[in-house]
Amino acid sequence: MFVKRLIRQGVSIHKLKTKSVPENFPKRCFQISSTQFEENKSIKIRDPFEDVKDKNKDTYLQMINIFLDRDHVYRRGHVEFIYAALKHMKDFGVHRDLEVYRSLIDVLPKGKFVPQNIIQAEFMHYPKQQQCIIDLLSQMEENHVLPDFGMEDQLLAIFGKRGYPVRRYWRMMYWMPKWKYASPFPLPDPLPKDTYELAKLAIERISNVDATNQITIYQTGDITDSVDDTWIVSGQSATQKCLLSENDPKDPVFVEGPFSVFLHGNYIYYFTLRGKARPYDNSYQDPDEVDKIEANFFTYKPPIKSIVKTPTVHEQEDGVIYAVCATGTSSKDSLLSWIRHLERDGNSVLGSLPIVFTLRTSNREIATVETEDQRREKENTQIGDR
Amino acid sequence: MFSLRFKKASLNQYLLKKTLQRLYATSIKPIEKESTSDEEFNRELKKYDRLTNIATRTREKKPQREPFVKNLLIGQFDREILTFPEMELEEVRNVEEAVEKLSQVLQQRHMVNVNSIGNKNFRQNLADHRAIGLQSSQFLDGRECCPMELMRFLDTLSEHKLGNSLLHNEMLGVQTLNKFADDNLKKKYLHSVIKGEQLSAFAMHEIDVMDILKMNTTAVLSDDKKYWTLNGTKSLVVNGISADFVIVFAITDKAHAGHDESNSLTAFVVDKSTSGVSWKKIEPSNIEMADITFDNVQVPAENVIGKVHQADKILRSIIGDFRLSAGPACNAISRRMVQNLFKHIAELSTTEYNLADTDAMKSKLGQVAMELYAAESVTYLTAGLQDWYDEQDVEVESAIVKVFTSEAAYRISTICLDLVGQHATTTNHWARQAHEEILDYLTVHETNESQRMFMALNGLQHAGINLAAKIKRIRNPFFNATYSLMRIFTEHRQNEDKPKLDLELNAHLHPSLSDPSKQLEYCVKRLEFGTERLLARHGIECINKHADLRRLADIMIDCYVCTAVLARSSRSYCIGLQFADYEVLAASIYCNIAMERVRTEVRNLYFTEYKATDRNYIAFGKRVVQSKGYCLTNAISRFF
Repeated sequence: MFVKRLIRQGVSIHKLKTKSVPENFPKRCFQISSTQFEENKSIKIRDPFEDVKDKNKDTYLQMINIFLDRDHVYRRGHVEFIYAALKHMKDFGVHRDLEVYRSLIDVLPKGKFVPQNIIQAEFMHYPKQQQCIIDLLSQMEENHVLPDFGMEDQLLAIFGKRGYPVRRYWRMMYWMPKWKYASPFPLPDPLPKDTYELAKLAIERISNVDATNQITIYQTGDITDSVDDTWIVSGQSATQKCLLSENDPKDPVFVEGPFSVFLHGNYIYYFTLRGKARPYDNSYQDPDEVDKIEANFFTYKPPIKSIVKTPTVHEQEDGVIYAVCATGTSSKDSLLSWIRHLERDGNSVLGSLPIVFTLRTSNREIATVETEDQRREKENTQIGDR
Repeated sequence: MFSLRFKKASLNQYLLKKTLQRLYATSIKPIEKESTSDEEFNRELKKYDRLTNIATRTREKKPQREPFVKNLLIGQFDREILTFPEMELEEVRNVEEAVEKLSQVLQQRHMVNVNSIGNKNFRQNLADHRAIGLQSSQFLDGRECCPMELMRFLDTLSEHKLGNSLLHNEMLGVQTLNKFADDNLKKKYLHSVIKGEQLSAFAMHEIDVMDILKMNTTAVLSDDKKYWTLNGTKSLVVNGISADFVIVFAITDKAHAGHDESNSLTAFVVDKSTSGVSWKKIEPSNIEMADITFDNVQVPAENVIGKVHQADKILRSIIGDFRLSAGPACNAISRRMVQNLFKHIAELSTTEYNLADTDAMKSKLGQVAMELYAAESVTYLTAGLQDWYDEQDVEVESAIVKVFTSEAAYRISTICLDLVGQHATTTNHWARQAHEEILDYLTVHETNESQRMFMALNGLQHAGINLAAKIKRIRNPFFNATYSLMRIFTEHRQNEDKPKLDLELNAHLHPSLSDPSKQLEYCVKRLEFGTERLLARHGIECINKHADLRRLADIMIDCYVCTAVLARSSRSYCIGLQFADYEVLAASIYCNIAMERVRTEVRNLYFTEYKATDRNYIAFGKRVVQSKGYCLTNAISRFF
């Protein structure tokens, strides 16, 4: 037992003997993790973060200050405090704020946890504290918060250069910048809150498979008989217009949806205009036939030769996608207006085609961008249930 | 070959009969005209004052040869070409004399100051010296030049600032009528153009139409088959403002348009005074250009040039010659620039500091002279091929002339701008004006980029037909195992960039050109290798490898220009022309540069998958397309 403590705490072990923990101090004043919360329902847990009325960055930082001021001599329960603070970050809307993470790390004392010898260094000196900060760094990574070099200084002052959190920090500083712009479908940061803007982003992302795509914004109000008054973000490329005009007048086209597309945490409902799948031409020209090269005398554009008839990206196995859209209400009425708009906008063939609406029960809401109030309300009811 | 016989023809019936038979030999008129009475002969005779001065040329062209440059791609070098084509002494003397006179006329003050081709006196002055209708029949007061003479005349005409306009009139308008129009049209339009009374314009291009066979101008024949109704807009019509009539190309057979190369286009002569024709000047530009709109213009059926639906043949022939004619025009500008550059340097030289004697200036003067020499050689070699051989296929060669001469002139103009420096800041300085003049040759009508594609594709088409069986074997190694294994040994010299030089070109050249001829052989061998590689690697899909096609075209240009400079300098040296030793020097410089360039180009073709720049350019370009523009962050940005 003693050896174990010796390894963990090194030569400073003699100090422990002189210290005594006041018996009346609550062992746990902060919640550690949700699993414990579930299992030990008998334990009464006081979570000061939950009691805060006005949840924002200022109050969050205030909470940290309160903790620091409460007993700045024998500061105890850092780890528990940090875990609790981490848990509530989203509620306060500070989960993407580097400054907050830095002030959380600042809670730990400087110098105390720095290993003094090789054995301490090797066997994770103060493991609970180190693990806590590692968890904090993980949460930063999950929220795409890139640390700065000041944080390195903090971690070095707390855990020394052999500490695991510092190593974790170094790895993060190596990889995170590399991943930052790796997405082939970048979104603006921060993401707009407005569903209309989100819908535009979503439809742009879906339809950018075709370079000739064009995003058009229609208003249902422009259609005389429409009930709803909302916007329609419609995406249709020149190729799709051409494909639609070639649709056999006997074959109906289908308005299908809603399907969902995710933009970070938010999902947007969208609808497609689909036609019957086209037969696939499997024949190809033998590429070895080099005696059949055509040389045109008059063309000014670089010639293109394709030995197979490549279907366009819109011609899928289950059908040909003629257009996509997202509307403000996702209602059948707004989709009808969409079709009318498309017909006016250079797809006159739609007037003569049978159009089938195969909609699943559509929500009234197009997207679930929760406002702060809604979320709080929801959580309050959940807590109330418990 | 040619022998030129001048005969003072007395007015005897025999000659008259013979000449008129000759005149009507190409006619599509009904036959009964031929059996006209002697009185009618006399009446015809009075129209042609100059009948007594007609020079008859007994044309004895050599039989057609295989296309030269196209054959280079399959490794066949026609050594006959190395004897640079030349004209008879008598012909040369006559041309030089005429050119001298024309040049003097063009230098007269009232001619120099003319700013518009619309000036009738200017044109009539030229017509008096028979400088319009150079290739037209002498019965229409043309000159009936052979291609090499034509080059010399065009060279002289291009010295005038309206050279480009004259060239368009001559090579497009006059030549279309001359080659393809029937006698009525010739009499009505061609003769008045040659006389300088009228001016032609050639309306083929449309804005935003990249394929001529898919143009938007259409013509429909009326029910009584008396007139065509023409609709559409032609853009970039050179001389479109001053012209009296326009030669218009229109789609007349919609069913075939764009699909079938033949059977869709028809050419018309349209008077600009016809109702429904309107035009708008394109400004500002160095050369007179207009957009011409045809709105339900009625064109009489007899104004069709050539056969209905067959105008693509007209275009093919006329445009081919037009490409060639860009050669003398660009060379004239280049020559003027070299002269002016020397003058400029001489002016700056003083006794204390002799600028003209510094290496800095001498090396640049040598470079521009070499460029000009190469450009001249390639122009006259191509004209000579047309001249010497019957119906010679010079499609690719003409395109090479256009690309090489215009780019040589462009390079010379940038060198001039570099050396002239601050003097060229004013827009009316000669260096800047010449630079802008050259830009017209690079931009109007066809770009050099499209010409390169044209060259490479035609070459590959020819090579593909000849190499089809071989390529099939190379592309299917498992079916032809022994052949593939053998190729390891037969091709190892090419793979190591050390081809065996066994064409023996030096046997056809002066011995002092032996080393440069080896360099040409190397280029030709590598061209063959590059072609085979390209076809074997991509098969018929090589059409899509535009970056490789461009490189192939560059190699073709280098090979052909090398041939031209070697042939010309060898001929000059052998017959002892003045400064022939410097011609040899110029030829060896060019071959040296070309060989290094070809070495790199072929390496780029060969390594295309691994370390060639093209592949990486394409990858980068793809990103630029995806990002819809330049996408890289600025040099000082950081985010942590």
